[in-house]
Amino acid sequence: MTASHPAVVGSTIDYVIIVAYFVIVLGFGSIFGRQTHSTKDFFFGGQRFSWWIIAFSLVATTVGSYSFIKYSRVAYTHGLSATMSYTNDWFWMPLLCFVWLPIVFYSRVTSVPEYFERRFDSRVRLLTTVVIMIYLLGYIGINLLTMGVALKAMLGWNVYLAAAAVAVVCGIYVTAGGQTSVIMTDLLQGLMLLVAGFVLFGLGTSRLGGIRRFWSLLPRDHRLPLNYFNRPPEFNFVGVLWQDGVSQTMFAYFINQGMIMRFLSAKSPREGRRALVFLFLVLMFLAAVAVANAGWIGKAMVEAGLLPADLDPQQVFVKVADAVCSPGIFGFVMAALTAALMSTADTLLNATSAIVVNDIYRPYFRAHASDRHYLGVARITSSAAAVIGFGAVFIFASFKSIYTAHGAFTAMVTPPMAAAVMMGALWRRFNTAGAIATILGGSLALAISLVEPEVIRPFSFGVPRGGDYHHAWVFQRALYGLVASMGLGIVTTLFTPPPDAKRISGLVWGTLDDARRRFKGGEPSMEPGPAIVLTVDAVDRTETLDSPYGAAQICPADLARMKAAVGDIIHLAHTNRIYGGLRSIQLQITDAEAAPGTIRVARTSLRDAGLGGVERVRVDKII
Amino acid sequence: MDSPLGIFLFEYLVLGVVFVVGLVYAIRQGDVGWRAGEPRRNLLMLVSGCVVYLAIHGFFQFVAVDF
Repeated sequence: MTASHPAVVGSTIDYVIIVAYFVIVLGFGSIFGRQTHSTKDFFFGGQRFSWWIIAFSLVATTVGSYSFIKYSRVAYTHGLSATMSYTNDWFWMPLLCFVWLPIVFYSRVTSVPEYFERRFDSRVRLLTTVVIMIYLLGYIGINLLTMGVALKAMLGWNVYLAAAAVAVVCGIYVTAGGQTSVIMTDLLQGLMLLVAGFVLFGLGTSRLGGIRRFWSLLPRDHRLPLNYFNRPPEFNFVGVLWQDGVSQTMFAYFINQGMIMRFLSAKSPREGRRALVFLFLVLMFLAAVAVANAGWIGKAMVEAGLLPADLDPQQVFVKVADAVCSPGIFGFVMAALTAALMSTADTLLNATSAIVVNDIYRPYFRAHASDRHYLGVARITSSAAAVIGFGAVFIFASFKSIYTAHGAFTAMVTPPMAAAVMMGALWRRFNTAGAIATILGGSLALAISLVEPEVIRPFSFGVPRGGDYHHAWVFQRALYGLVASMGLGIVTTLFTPPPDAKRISGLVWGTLDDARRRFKGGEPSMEPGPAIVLTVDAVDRTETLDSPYGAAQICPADLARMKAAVGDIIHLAHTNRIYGGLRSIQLQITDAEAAPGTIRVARTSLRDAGLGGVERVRVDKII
Repeated sequence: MDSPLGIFLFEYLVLGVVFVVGLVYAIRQGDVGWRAGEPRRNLLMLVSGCVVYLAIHGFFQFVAVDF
């Protein structure tokens, strides 16, 4: 955070573009937020979105404000191996798509703490709620501070002014529209940061004389995507593999509240799966190039004599952007940097609000209020989280020890939490005592490693200790933490009674059919069927149109075409796929009385889905 | 171990274990497998993804490095 700042760059047109971008995002988020009528909408976007919207919004959330600066620096120093953090996720697909995603979706788990209460007990929920709240609020502050520092370095803006601008913009649209606004703005911001990254790459290679010339200028060891097995201490293959490829990936996709809420906003687990396939196979590769290429271009430009040989790696992103971008394009690239921050910060604000409402306010303060009441609390909490996050900027900026402490805290809780969730989802024998031992014991083991780093040495794979006392084996600590946490959890579980099988049904691998039954309120129908287009027959609510989901009626012939039956959950959407589920709703088929080719639905359901006045809709079966 | 091949093998050994463990769980649950229909599609999807990663990593690690 105290790196020396480069000379301020950017022109009036660049500032205009950045400010215009803020206004566009604010407007975009506020417009799409008008469809938020319930806490389900506010936190989970109504469980209706298509895979491509989820995928683009996920990439925007994954790429943080620091990503362009950090990965450009690493890419400048270490070449293509800077992409390692982004290219390990696919191997988690079986566990993520076929174990965790269905558990979360069908069990209607709204947060990891709630999962822990249902899987274990309220003590584990309280423990994890405290841990996650400290993590989330601190992380919002760190993101805002990182952004402020970056904009100060690049455009000369005041750190606090930049952080405040982002906090206000995000706070407004998250408060207005919750998850729907977050998803739609993140869709825009995901596209923006990918396009900007590739514009920079194109301009950079063009300046160097083409892609072949660029490649030939890179030193040979910079061309390897997997390199430097156990050196240097601050960046090495084996450390990044355990830290990012294993521990962080587990945390990001299995525990991160923002990710869980995004999975739950998909219209079905199948749609969530498609989103992850596209994310891991396409978008993460593109994102890796987008955030790191300034470092590769910078290295090639140094080799070609276009940039000074003593270029500070910390400044390579700004220097390259300034060297290859004309006024206006530079502003666009800087706006993409802002996009990377806002798309992470908005997810954190919404996630914080979900934890406060679902894991603190509802269980401990007011258990049986109306949904409208909880929606109001959620909006207040979103605003408060933005204010507290901005307040944390001052604390982190003034007391470097607190910033370091939050980093240490995160490193301490990440492996134990990841271990607890994994064992909770995969091992039916894993019990409450084991979970507490995993989280508390694992955190204690990691705290010991901060005081006495030598305990990490057996897991170091020959990596030199490096760094000061607290930063010794900073990557290898993750593996040590995972082994310690899982070991304690396994031993404790084996010496204590197993959990009640009925209690954990639907929350652990092998019991998913129970979760599906509860989700639907009947026997699940998993045979996939084609989507069909039906004419809308809008009616006032009647007794036959009654279901906790909202109800629909379809005739037997049309049900047969889509391989559905009375009682199944369906997804009703606008026929134009460009909406990506934005104008859609989940309903339950309560009767087969409608005329052929039509679907009978209550006007209120259609209005809530943004389908009022629509004549034809696309219908497909969920379960 | 500090050779391109050694690092490549280490990467796919560690992540391969993660992948295979997940695959076993998914197969035992019935969502993935040789059975025609969705299970087979899911299996092909998972394995194809691995092949894509192998191909991209392998291309840059062993082929493009000498371009």
